[in-house]
Amino acid sequence: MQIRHGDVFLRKIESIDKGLKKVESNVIEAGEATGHHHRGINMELYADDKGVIREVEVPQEGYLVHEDHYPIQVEKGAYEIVRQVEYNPYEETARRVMD
Amino acid sequence: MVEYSEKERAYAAEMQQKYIDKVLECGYPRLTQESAKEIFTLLFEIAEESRPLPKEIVICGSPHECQRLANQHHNNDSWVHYSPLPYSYFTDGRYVTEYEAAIEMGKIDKDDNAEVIKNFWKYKKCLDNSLFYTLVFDDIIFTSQPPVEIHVNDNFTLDNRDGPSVLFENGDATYHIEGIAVPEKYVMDRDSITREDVVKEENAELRRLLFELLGPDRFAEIMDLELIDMQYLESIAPESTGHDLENLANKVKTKKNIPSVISTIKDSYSSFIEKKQEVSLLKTRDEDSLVGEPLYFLRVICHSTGRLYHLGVPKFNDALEALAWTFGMKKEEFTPHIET
Repeated sequence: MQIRHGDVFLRKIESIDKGLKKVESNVIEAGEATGHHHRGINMELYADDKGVIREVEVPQEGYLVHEDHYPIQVEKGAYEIVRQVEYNPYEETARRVMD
Repeated sequence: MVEYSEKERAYAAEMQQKYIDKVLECGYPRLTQESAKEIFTLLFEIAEESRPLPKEIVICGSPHECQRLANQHHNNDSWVHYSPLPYSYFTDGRYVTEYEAAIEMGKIDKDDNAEVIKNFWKYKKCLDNSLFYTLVFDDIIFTSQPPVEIHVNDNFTLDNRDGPSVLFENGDATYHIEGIAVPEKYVMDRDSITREDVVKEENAELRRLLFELLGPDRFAEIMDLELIDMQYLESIAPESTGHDLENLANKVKTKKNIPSVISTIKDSYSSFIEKKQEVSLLKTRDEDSLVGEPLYFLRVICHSTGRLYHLGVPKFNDALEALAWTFGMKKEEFTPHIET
């Protein structure tokens, strides 16, 4: 199961990586420029050492919500969070899409 | 190499911070003829200048004005350019503060360094009296009043995307983004940036900034693009666009009262249908002079807002391959079932 919610992508995985840490917030990805956030309702969020949400666990039915994108119902399971990047030819690097 | 204990380091850091705060608050006195004369007398002493202090000191509202007047003044054969940038407040000032802390804490041998220390206090006095951008000629000095506004980022690098990085009392200003000096219109009038500006910008750092400042949408708009590939991505997506999603997002900011949150979300649901999303891959008709090849862009439409937008991508021939790349995947792996 793959879900795309704007520039955030959920890809189903077997289980949550044990090296990640559960966090209390419901913000999966904060839009620094716009203040619009991808939020996970009824989801457990897991972050890496830098506090970046890498995976989410949906115990029953969860929802993705955002100011610019329609809510999506997410079925039970564990998901990896993939963030969209864009390319700056003058840096020759991919960088996170800023919204 | 001076060695500090932790307590001494903390003290030196505190002194530096106070200095930086004072600089950022623009808390320096305005120059007067009297204070300017004292500054340049001290500077000439430190430099062991053999020539006499110029008779005339012109106090300008900004470094820009110093330059304008100096250009009108006469030939540039005998001038000295001093404290060239607003940065001097940070660079010189930070060293000065560090040195001052070292003297205060007895880290510098006062007997061995008597002359250096004497000159140091003279220079410190010059800074405290607002020594700033200055052009010294044999017969005249042009010197600028200190800034009235300074904007820096967390790294204390001059940085302001919405206005001047340094503003002077006469309205003259400098503009910086991430410490890079940029033309005024990059900050104040981005809509007027043209393809010519982009193409003519030979500095890679500045062109990178232009790409970032304009955003891929505007960048793509002003460049001459040609379509390479267009494909459809099939997925389930909202039937309509334009719901008040912001209102919904505000209601679900906290996790409290989950059942009511869920019902609010469901109320705002659009019905979902199978949709085909047009994904286009475009490239600039001309090679970019710095990159040495054309620039590539992906053009997609947001299912929720209906907004057309562009993303910069590396060189691809296949639009869906390029879209998959933006999510770190191969085309075969990229199969979103639902998209909003």
